[in-house]
Amino acid sequence: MNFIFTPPNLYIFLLIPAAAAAMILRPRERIFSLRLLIYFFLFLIILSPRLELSKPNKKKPAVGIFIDGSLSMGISERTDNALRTARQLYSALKSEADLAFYKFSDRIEKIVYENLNGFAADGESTDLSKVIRDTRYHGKIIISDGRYNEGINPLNVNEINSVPIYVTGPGGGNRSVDLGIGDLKIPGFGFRGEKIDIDFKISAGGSPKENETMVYLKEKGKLIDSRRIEISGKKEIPVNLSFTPDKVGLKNYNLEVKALAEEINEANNIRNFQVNINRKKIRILYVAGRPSWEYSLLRRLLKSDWQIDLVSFLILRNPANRTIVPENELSLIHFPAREMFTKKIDDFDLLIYENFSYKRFFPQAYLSHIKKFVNEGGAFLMMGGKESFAGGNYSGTPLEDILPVDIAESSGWKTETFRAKVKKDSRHPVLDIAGDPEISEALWRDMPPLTGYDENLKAKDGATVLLEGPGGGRLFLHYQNPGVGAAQP
Amino acid sequence: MVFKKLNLILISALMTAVFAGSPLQADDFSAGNSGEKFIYAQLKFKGSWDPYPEAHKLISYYFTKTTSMEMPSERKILTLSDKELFYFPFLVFTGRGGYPEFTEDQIRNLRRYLRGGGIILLDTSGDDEFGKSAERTFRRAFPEKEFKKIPQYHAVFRSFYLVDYVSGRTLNRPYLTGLEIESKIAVIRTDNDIIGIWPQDKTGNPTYAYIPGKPGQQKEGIKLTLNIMIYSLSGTYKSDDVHQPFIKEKLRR
Repeated sequence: MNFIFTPPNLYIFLLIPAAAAAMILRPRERIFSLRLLIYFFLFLIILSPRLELSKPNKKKPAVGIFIDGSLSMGISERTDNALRTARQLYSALKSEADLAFYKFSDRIEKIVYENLNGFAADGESTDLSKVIRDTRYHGKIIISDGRYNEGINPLNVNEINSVPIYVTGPGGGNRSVDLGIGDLKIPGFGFRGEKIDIDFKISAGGSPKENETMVYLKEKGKLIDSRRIEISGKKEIPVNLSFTPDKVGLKNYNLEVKALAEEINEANNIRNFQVNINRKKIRILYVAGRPSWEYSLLRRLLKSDWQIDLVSFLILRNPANRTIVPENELSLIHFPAREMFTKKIDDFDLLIYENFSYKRFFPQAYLSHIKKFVNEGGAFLMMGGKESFAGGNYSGTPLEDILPVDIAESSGWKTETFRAKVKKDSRHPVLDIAGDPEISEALWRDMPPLTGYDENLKAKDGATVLLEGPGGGRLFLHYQNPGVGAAQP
Repeated sequence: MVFKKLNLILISALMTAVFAGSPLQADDFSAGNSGEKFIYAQLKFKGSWDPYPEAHKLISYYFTKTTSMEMPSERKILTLSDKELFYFPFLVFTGRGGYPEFTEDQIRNLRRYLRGGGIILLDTSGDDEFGKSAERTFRRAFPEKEFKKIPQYHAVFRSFYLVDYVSGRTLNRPYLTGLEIESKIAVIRTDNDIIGIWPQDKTGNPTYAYIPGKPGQQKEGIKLTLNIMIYSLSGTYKSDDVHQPFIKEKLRR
């Protein structure tokens, strides 16, 4: 209870003794007293003192009681024991604390104490770390069998909070049969075509009737390795499985231990993991529309690098060309466009088109595969020439979507000698050919001149212009990142 | 790591494209263009350097009509002192008789030209004096190198046509020899007067007699000339695995 003396009340309260005093005093003393009274009132008006009387706050601490409601608590008398414990806690603490009851499994939900009788252990999984991280209370009491199978290991919860946690088990009955996967050791990455080992341990609880079970390793539901393991009399069984990936990318795998007939909890029989599969070598598919010095020199460079696998196709002859010898005296082969662009394109990391027009070799629909390839992480380089961009009929095709330039309907090919200039303040690593920006810039300045360009090419919004052509406005080299991959003209 | 490497390749690819994109200056020919046309360049020196002044015209015709490349009918004549030399990566070097030695600067340019990716077709035509002078020239430029026989399975014999035998106007030597520089055969030598097979009179007959006149001598000479030119643009392309089954099958027939 608080009493507050506001100034008006206080003035009335003080006027009473003042009036009484005025009645009994002599006139001279009255005047003196009245002056004192006036000074006193002025003091009160100016400083407005308040008198507040209050008792210290004795609010009770908030305590959360979290009862495990997952399926494993339904075994034997665990739930009954847990509820009995909860009721005992209520009786003991209700006068000392504000108690709130919760049921937890994969989520936390508030329950009313009076409805504890209707409590059911029906949660599909247990995430103890979620309960530990809850900071709403001054203290927490957890009633659980400790079988977590979701979230991180509660012992590894990193958040430091000062909320005291008390844990009690439900007890009840003999230890039940349960297999679980733990201590999983997987490499973060691997290489296509190279064996990857997966090591883990299977914990065996209770006294199962079966002597053995199976362990499976799957990718997208497809079995890639399995092992039969002996479990009789063992509490922990180390297991090794392995596989050899044949595709690159971030791959999802899952380990699965076949559940025993009397197993109480099958959720911990499965573990999912990811491995990033890389290529040991970088694979490049290089298609050139005709023999050229570019092809000759670039091919030599790429072939000289042992980390690069180069597959190239060079169009040596067009349908319009004549032949002076029988077909069997030509070394030419059919260009396997369908196979390359619909089936094998994902085997490559980089696709290069140099002065190549697709129209004579395959339908536009194949270009969608290239777009998908780039959006899924592949790289694409289109090197100019009369048969590239508009000259190669790429305007309005799926390739235009991944290229950083707008392709006009008609080619603006112009034969003109010019030097490409590094765009001001451009610092892209592609330009840093010497490993030092200043030296690189000087090297770019001293490059031999180029002899042609498409003046109709314009950079798309969002594309980065790295080099400029004639007049500063012509575009030479652009870069953008449409998906994960990159495309460059 | 893969993407870092990929970036390096892209840098290299772009760089190579830039270097490669400038083998000639457009102003040299009205329609000349590096990426689009193949320019027949011929070396001029103090001596008899041009035994067949018209040969390149018919070569141009055949090359343009039978391959996906275009070759202007005009040739480019260059000396080892010309700065433009480095814009023309294919150079024909032929002649008659000995010639005065090149200067040190010219030898330096020759060395730089071949190390930088240039390819020379050396046709001695079986002329001993010219052959000896040429050997001396290349020995000065590359003292540690020597001409070696080019095996019949080399890409130069398969770059466009399947060549049966090493032909020319004469059949002085049944094989080609080559000087390997920077891991590729940069100088291809024939002693069979391969350029001499091309000149024709107005009626279409060979201007110079073929010796000994073996069946297919002209056709094989034409095939080999064009193959050498395509090889200069395609390198060892025809040695790639993807071609081998087809080539073996055709050779087996």
